[in-house]
Amino acid sequence: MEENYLVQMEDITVEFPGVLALDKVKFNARSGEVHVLLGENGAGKSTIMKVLAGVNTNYEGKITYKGEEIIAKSVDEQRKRGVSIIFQEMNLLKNLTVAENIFLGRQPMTKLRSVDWKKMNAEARRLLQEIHSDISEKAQVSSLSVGQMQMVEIAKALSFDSDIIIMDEPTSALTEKEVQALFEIIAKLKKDNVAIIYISHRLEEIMKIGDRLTVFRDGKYIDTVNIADITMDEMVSMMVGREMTDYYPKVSVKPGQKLLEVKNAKQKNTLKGVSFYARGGEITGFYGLMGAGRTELMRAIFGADQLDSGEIFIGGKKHKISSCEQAKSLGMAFLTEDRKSQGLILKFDLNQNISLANLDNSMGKFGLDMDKENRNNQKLADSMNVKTPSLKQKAKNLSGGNQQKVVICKWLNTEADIFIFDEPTRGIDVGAKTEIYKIMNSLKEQGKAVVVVSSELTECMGISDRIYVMHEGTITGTVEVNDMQYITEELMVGYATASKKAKKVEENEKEN
Amino acid sequence: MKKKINLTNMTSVIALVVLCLVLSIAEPAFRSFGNLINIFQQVTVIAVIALGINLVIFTGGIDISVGSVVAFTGIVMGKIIVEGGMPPFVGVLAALVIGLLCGTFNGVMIAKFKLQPMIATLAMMSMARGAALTLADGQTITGYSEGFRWIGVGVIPGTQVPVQIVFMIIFYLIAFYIMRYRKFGRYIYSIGGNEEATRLSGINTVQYKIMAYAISGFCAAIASVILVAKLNSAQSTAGLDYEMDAIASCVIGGSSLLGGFGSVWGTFVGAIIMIVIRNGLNLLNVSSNLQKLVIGVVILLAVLADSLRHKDDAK
Amino acid sequence: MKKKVLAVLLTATMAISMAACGNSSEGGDKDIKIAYIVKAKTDEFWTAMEKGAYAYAEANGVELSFQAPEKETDVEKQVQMVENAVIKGFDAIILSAADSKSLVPAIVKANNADIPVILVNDVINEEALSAEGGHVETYVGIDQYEAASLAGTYAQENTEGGKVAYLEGISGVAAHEERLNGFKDQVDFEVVSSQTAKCDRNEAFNVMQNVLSANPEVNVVWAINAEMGQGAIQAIEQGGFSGKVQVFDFDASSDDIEAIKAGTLIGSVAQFPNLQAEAAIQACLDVLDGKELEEHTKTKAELITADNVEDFEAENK
Repeated sequence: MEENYLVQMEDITVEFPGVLALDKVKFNARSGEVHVLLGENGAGKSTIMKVLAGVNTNYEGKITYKGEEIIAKSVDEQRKRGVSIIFQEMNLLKNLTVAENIFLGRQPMTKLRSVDWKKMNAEARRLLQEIHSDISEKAQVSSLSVGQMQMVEIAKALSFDSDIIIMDEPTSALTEKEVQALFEIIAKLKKDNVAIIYISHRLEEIMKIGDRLTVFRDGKYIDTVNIADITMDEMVSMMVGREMTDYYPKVSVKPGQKLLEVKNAKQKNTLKGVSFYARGGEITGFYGLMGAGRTELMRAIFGADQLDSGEIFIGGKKHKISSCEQAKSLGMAFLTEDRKSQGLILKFDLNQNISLANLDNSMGKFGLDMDKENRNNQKLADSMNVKTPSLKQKAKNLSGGNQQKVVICKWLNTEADIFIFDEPTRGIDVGAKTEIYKIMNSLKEQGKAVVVVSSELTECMGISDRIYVMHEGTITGTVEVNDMQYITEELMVGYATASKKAKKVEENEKEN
Repeated sequence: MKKKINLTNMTSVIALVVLCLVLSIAEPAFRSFGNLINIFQQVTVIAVIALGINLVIFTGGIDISVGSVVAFTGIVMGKIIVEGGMPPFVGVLAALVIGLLCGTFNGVMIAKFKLQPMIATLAMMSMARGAALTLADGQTITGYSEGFRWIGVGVIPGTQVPVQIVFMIIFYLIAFYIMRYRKFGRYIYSIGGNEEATRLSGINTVQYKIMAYAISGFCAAIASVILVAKLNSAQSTAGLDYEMDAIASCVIGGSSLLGGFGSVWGTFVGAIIMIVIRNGLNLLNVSSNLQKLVIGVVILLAVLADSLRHKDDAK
Repeated sequence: MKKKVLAVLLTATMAISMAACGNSSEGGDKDIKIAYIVKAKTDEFWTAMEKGAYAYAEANGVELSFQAPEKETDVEKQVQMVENAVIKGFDAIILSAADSKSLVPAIVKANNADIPVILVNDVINEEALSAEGGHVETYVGIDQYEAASLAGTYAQENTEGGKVAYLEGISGVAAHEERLNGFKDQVDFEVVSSQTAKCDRNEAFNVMQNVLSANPEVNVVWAINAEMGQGAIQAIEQGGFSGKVQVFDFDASSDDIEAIKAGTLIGSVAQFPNLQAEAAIQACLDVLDGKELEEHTKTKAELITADNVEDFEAENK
């Protein structure tokens, strides 16, 4: 083993039927470092970590761990060796407590062969305290937020005295505050000489937290560099293999009429009097932290939930929206936050998913015409650059980015004028993200009104023409077209946490 | 989805063919033309009920009230035609309306008031059965006119083919057309595939679910008309366990109880398989009780095949 | 593809095992094949009949197929059985009809195929039958009314009488109604309850329990079959009314015999189902020989009480 590597993986190859997921890749990690693994979706970063963690045992190649050559045969074995992995979709049992989850399958026993609850809880409390978490070890997991669940997973990893903790997209569902907490814990773990392997494609985070960076592309190893030595642009180039000059492509369009206007929307506990408008030919962004009420607002406008009071105007005319069916007929399209469970029928094929919102387009002389449907859908899919061998593919087999594009195709198939996107790029790699921004721009150019709810600050600031910032059910900040040039990240976060009053942007800036 | 359905159909059709071959060899009586007619006649009632339940199963729900609806509508017909002396078509109309109402009631309870399908239809099962028993005082009502009975025992002039078979095939053709070529059919499948995603795509899922249950009740009523005409009597105890046979037909034919998958013709084949098994075993002199065991095994195999087929869909 | 093959193999295996299950058809080419279709096999009455039937068939060179649906109420299935029997080409069909009218079309089918039909234990509605142009060779069975009246007469003469509760059978079944009336017409007791317990022991238990709480002075019970009689007896014992209620029932099952010996059952009308089966099969043989039969081939019925229970047991075990 060279250069005091804790683990060294060489010539790792993993093959799935029809796909070469990893092609003789290499990877290494040192104790006490944060090593970031970067790559587009399908690049192989999750796959290689699953090999190291013992989840995927069907591999070829050499793994040297703590100076010894090993074979990663099972999750349990690897865990005992000191390798833990925290998945994106967490593996906690919701109806058990925190302590029970941490010690699942290896509860401390009393002499009478029953579970030693006292010992288990005490040990769990100790672990939680180590990572400065104030979660109660007796709390039921179902009552925890996503960020808190992540903490529990980390505590669990620590309970195994792990030397390597692999985190797969840890921040994709966390609030800013929780991300900070996570980074503090990572810092502490580093001091304790734990190696952190951090899989992410959030470039700003990588810059903040990472020591070294390894890039994979299409199952192949590209390079390993020190993060201090490169820029974000260079990171992206390595990832996609080409120059990415425009993360947030902008087009200039003269805004049209107010296509959607909401006055004083109220919903018990979630919306406390929200008013806004969205114009054709414009991208209206909605920024805020989790729980701000943006999704609730959009769902209510689309008829998925009900407002207690408030007025909605479509194209200037007032409407009481009582169902999604009605909203659709009025020209609205809604891309939900959770595309898997709400945007797509995963077990159906792409044809059926794409045509679902407008079956009239698929009708022929005697009824549904499958060929016509297929042609229509293919056109849409091609225009969106959906990567799939055929439209008969089931939706669940597509990558996140392609799934999102399919949902977009579904709504493009209708005659919508108002497009509401709720967290459209969550869990999607940079390449696909840019494609989606381009799609939004083209909708803008067609004169549609585009509303985008986003929790990624730079994204929101980058693509929106105007921004509303929400905090706990109210709009705390409005950034008009002319103000966009003055806004800063701090100001936006200030609005989002209601620590900055909703004064005029310029005034706020002048104060600084 | 369509390609997958053809595959499903093939499995059950192949099973049916193999079954028939084996039975033909084991029992000569099986392969007579008379037996063939018998089989199709014996299958009509269950096949028509299965047609309706299939729709409900597509949406991911279940309807166990159909057997009781058969009894209830049958008694209503008896009261109107035999005891009331009204012309048969009035009785039939009343039966169809009641079937529709029972189904709609189920649908509203389930789609609008969000009751669990099993619970809501269990309640209807009890209510309809109780209504039938009360109305008829536990009795059977017999003595229908020739015209009415023609539905159940008449044949196409010049042939030996019973009319009820023709009715059954017509219903199935209509159902097939609607499920495959009309928006209604696609919406029903989508609701079973993912109800929330369908609703959020701007489709009135409540309305379509209610329609599915209404049609299930309607089909039960049609089956009842055929049954009463066949037996020349409306029993208040009619239809016991029929819902189980109907559901079994759907499952054997490839409809997934999770919703979203299955086909109209698959259910038809499933119903035929059930009756062929019963008919074959009967001719082979196997006792009724053992027949039930065999059918249970067949259902188990069908469900296993179903879960194998869909094991990736679980996530 | 793998799944298709698997499915085919499974079905084939299942079908072949089904064929293997099938008795008869193979062994020996006996002369006469008779289908004996009854209402259900759930009651001891039917199993006794089956035993008697097979014994007589064996002794007379008859190949017998004894069939029944799972429930007495499953009329459609019984119809299908008759239809299948016609297709299979039995020489004769013995039928105990689940419904007095619904079986008529099936009987007509048998007539058209020149297969003689003999009724046993349950009658077919005469009008309905002749309206369809069907006919049966004979009805084999007891006279239900007459048999029931044996019990009624005994009750009238040998109990203090007073208040009586009736446990009825399944409506639409003529035999059950005749049994009820046969007893009823012989007694002048006050009727405190007359309800159906659908020939089921459990139901009878529940009904009897309710009757006893509403009418604790009831002292005679007439159940038109043995299962209900037993259910009533259990309810009486559980309720603490032992010795206060005189129970009579029909069929003289083995439980009934024990109960008579123990004193919890006063009397039971035995129908000798085995004798009925013998008579039915003999009737088939006679018809096939060209003999003419009487309309009603009457078989024996006897009231079993504590006086003759030992003899009865000896004869029929």
